[in-house]
Amino acid sequence: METQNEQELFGVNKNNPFRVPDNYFDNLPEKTQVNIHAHENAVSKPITRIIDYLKPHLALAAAILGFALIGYTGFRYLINKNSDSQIRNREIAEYIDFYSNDVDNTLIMELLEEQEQQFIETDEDLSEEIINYLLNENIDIYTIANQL
Amino acid sequence: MSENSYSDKELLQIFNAGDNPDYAFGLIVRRYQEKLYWHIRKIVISHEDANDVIQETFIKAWNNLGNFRGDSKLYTWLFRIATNEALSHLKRSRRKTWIPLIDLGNKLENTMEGDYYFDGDESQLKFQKAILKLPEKQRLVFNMKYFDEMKYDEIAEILGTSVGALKASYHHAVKKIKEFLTSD
Repeated sequence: METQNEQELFGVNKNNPFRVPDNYFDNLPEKTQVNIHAHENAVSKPITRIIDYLKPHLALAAAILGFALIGYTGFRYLINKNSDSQIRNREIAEYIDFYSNDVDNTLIMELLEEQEQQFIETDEDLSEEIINYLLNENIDIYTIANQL
Repeated sequence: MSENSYSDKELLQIFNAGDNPDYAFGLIVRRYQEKLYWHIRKIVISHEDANDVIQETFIKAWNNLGNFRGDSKLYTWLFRIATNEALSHLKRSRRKTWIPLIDLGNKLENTMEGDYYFDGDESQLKFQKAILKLPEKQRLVFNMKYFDEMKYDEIAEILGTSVGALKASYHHAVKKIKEFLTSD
């Protein structure tokens, strides 16, 4: 009774306006059985299931990585574009050239002279120490020669 | 033997005995396929989607039928699975296409207008559009009560809601549909 009143109230034919393909319900049980057994076989392959589960996550991770890489490359490009790298290279070359000349002419000579002086001083100190020792111990030079 | 030769209880016994579960389940599918299909179709609208959802429903039913204890009727148990699967299907397709919840009704309206398997006249199309404007829960309750002519206590068992709340939902749904139909 309630339904009839509602139908009158809505003023619309209550028949189902949707339809299905021909013989759909005749074939559905068979298709369902096939699907169920196909699904069971799929479930028995856990590796496939894991891959299926991971696939969208991996795709998302790859996409994020790709965006990050593109962003980083773009950022580096902008930085390099702003600083004039050619001028910087030239400056470095001049710097090396300047200091390498300086080392050739002055620094190396000074270092060599300094080392030679140190060696001579060390040598003189050692001779003096040996003479003092021989005198203190009263050792004759001929005794040493005989021992040898 | 046809699906009408056995009661639900007997079909469950045959299924659980394990000798021929395919046979028992096939009879269950034959018995409930049409009711479940039309219930799903009114939720997802397109035939292709309804076909996918009914397959998923029966796969889930097959996997869980062994655990069905018979606390509720087999009929309401299957309807509960079908309802959940249909709503999940809508949610998944909404996520896939980035459609906000409020635009889902519009999307379903477009689907219905372009559906080869919709034979309704102008007034039926407008009526269906009015139903699609309802919130999801009200739409479910309206379809189950108005088209499937289910009892409130059956709907309550399927949707897990009280009969009082269902009556209120149905009342609001009828009011909104009337307003929509008389709006122009």
